Amino acid sequence: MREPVPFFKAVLQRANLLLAVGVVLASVAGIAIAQEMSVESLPDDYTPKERKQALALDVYRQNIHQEFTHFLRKSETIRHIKRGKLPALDVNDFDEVPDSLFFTNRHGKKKLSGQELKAGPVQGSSGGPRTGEWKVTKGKSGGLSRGMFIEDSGGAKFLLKFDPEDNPEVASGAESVASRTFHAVGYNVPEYYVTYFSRDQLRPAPGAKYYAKSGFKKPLTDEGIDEILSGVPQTRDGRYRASASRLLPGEVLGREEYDRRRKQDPNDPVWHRDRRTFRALRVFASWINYYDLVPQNSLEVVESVDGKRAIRHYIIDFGSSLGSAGNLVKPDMYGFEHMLDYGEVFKSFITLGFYRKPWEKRADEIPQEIPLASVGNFDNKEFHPEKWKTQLPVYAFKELTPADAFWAAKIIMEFSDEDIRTLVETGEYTDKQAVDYLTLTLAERRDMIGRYWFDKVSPLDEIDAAAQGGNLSIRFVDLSETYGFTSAGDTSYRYEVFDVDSDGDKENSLASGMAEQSPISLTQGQWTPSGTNIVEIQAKRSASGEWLPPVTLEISQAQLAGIHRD
Amino acid sequence: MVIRYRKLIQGRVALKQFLSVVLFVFLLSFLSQDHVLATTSYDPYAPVSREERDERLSLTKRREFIRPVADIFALPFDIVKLALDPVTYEVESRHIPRKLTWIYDELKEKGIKPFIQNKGKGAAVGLDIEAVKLARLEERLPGVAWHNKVKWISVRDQFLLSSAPKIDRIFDTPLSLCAGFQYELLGEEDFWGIGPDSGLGQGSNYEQEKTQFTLGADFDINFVAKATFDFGYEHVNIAEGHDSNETHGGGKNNIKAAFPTLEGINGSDEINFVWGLEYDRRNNNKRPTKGHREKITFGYHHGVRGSDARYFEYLTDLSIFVPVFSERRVLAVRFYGEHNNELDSDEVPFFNKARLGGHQTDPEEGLPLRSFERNRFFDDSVAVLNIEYRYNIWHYRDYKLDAVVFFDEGQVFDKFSEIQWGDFQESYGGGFRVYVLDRNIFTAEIAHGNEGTEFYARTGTVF
Repeated sequence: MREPVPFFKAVLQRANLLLAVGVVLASVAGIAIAQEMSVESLPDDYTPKERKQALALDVYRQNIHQEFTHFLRKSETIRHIKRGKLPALDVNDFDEVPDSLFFTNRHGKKKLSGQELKAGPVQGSSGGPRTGEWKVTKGKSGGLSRGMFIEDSGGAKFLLKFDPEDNPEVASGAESVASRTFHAVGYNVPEYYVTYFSRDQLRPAPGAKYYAKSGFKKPLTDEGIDEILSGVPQTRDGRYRASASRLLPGEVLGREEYDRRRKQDPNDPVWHRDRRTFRALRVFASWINYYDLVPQNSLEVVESVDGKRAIRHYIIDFGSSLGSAGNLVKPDMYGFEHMLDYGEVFKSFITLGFYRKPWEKRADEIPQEIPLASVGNFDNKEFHPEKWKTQLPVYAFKELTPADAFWAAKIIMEFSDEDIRTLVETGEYTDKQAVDYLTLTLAERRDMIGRYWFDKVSPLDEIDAAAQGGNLSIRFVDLSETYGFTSAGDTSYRYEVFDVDSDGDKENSLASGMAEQSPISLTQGQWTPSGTNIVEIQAKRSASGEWLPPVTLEISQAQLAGIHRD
Repeated sequence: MVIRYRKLIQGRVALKQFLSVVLFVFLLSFLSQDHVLATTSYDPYAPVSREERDERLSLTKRREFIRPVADIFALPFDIVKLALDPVTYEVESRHIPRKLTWIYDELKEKGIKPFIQNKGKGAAVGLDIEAVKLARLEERLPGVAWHNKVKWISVRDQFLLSSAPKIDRIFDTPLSLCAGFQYELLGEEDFWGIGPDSGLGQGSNYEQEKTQFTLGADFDINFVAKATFDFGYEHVNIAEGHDSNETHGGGKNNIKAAFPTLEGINGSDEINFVWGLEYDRRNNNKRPTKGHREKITFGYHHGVRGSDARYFEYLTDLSIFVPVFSERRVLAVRFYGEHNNELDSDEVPFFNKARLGGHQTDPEEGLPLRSFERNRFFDDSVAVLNIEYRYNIWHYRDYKLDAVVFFDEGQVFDKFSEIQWGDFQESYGGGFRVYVLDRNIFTAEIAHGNEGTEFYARTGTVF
């Protein structure tokens, strides 16, 4: 005989189950919506033009031509005079970036597990080059670091890049860490692995060629392989260490244009400079010290996406991240000045050299000898989240708005110390001190970025509105409080409610008030339940005493319909 | 059995409860990671977009059509870019700089060093052939070098041919020996007369052909100090310049007509003995940022084959480099003094007198006074002070750009007693210097003084 189940127990059981089922359904539905990404096929008659990749091209285009012609372009001048910086156009109504062929929300949306962080873009059973004989198909010809293309014993193709002679692990470690970080953030990156091999494994492939040190192309022989490997550091057991990146399948179209779009690509409706995902690269790059983030280090690849022919956009070549510059340790000025930084040069010139550049201050303070060879030149002294610079000026980066930066900082702040350690460990540093140091430095830099950019807007997130009995409750989370940049009670909020005109612009102020914390409650008469209201919320820290730029909410039919940050 | 069954039933109920709680907790934990989805009633990542944004997108598309018109002023530069793009790409993708560097290194390794320079007389191209390397005798003749140089300068067909064998540190001693032959067609030079008061209106020009044979010995006292001794023979011919108006319809006077009694106007033959001491404590001889260098020289020159030249030469060249709170800012000061003391009624040929004016990097070609024309002043003696404030304004890998502000003060004079405060001439100005691996590859300077303004685009610095 079955024992009667107490009533409350039965309710609990069913409630648990119902709740569980409900949550499952809701979450599945939610995820399904969130992951929805409509991809259109490229027109059948469209053959995408390949873009050439060369650093010299980028230097000329970005650092000389663009800089000198910018003020001659009336379109740019008018744009800036009339509207200032335009808000990003690839964001949705909630000021987030929906998934696209440029970006997929990952760690910012749902925390990746340690395993997922470690795996990065690796899918299924793919992995680094298999052991056994590797055929060297050609030498690496572009860029500053040495390398070679190989085909492993399973036929998979990789590009191997090597560390500088005096700093084993510095570039290969940085590439592994940085690429996985960028992947976790949401960008498309190729698979990168730290790999070890012995000289015996390498065989020149028939017909393989390489650029010899002379700059002349020669058939690749064993001597040629030795030439490429000369000066590459070896492990104690005589093996070589390299960063191996799996070659991307699909039709490679070359570099990305960081300014304009491909007009014929239906999945590319927004000028790239107006894409938050491009603008905010500057913030992500500042975190991992990815100085070499130039158009040359991007790739457009025609792939089959959901059975449709579409262009996916990749960021590649992370060898000059953290303390590495690829073929050497990062020079002091990296991250502080563009290659040709006219503003900094002018400041030095006009002050007779007495203007002390931040990197000069830093260089004067730190010891000349780098304590951890595998880390290279990386610390947070004189680091400034907004003043950090890439090797070349990029127009899209100059268009970065506080809202774009807030979005990026919010994602960066999602990486816990443990997440960072997990990522750093993928660098396979033999010196455990290097792992500790990098984890600490990246965590510190993460906080510097968060603290800075959360102070440029009212850093309110997880905003929602709910109506009940004629009242409206607006709740939010203050990210500065969440991450401990300011303590609860040190902040006050003010809000103002407007109705809107026929164009949807704010018109009359209906109510305003102050609040010490979330939620903000609006009573009847202070808002329009059946219409549309604009609500502006601003935060003020007691330390600074200034109101931060507002977050603007659109409440329509008693529901949150939009979020806008200045 | 019944009890067991009951227990089993109870166990199943408990298991159900347990599983439902586990499922709930699991889902909660799962969703708590996806914190935004869990905490908002909407999907913040949904691809929803309001009309306003769509309007902006269509505006963007419209702008793409009007942009070429709006950017019309940048069009010439865009055309240049279009032309340069493929060139830039080809240069990099075909590794042209690497090829050129390799070719240069290979040639140098074999003893053939091509060079391009502009040190003030015009753009020069040349070859420096090191015969020992070329003959692959380096191992059999350690320390021996034999440089053979040929240089052609575009302006007025200036030409130089030289050969200089040298044995470094003979038998591992501090002693080095050298010999040399040099033939030089110096091209056209301007001449305004002797003394500090020579006027620009007295301008003439001439050409000089010089042949020299030298034997020398260097003794390294230590790493920073060196003693030198040179014995040489010099033959100089003087001819009128191409720009002389008498024979060529040029704008300047024929020097022989304008200055018929000038010492050495018909050339000269002389032998000379020169002793020198050098003490060099600069941290870098190409781009010093601290330290000092002192050089003193004493020489005796004796005319032969009918030449009336007979004089002593005293020379001092002092420079000091002081970092101003940092080695990125350097105050560089150089004093150069030269006195040629003719014996009895003999003479110092005008072309061997002290010369002042221009932007010379080698004191043997004259001393810098940058707002004046090259070798504007001639006399038996010279005193010149060059003060430069050099500061680094750009540094990228091996490349550096320095800015410089300078002041030159100097005068020529016959005897020390004739030095007059009013005869000093000043120059001041500034410029930029580009360095690769601390070697100067380009200098652009502008200088102003009471005879006008001069602009220089050169390789090398004045000291």
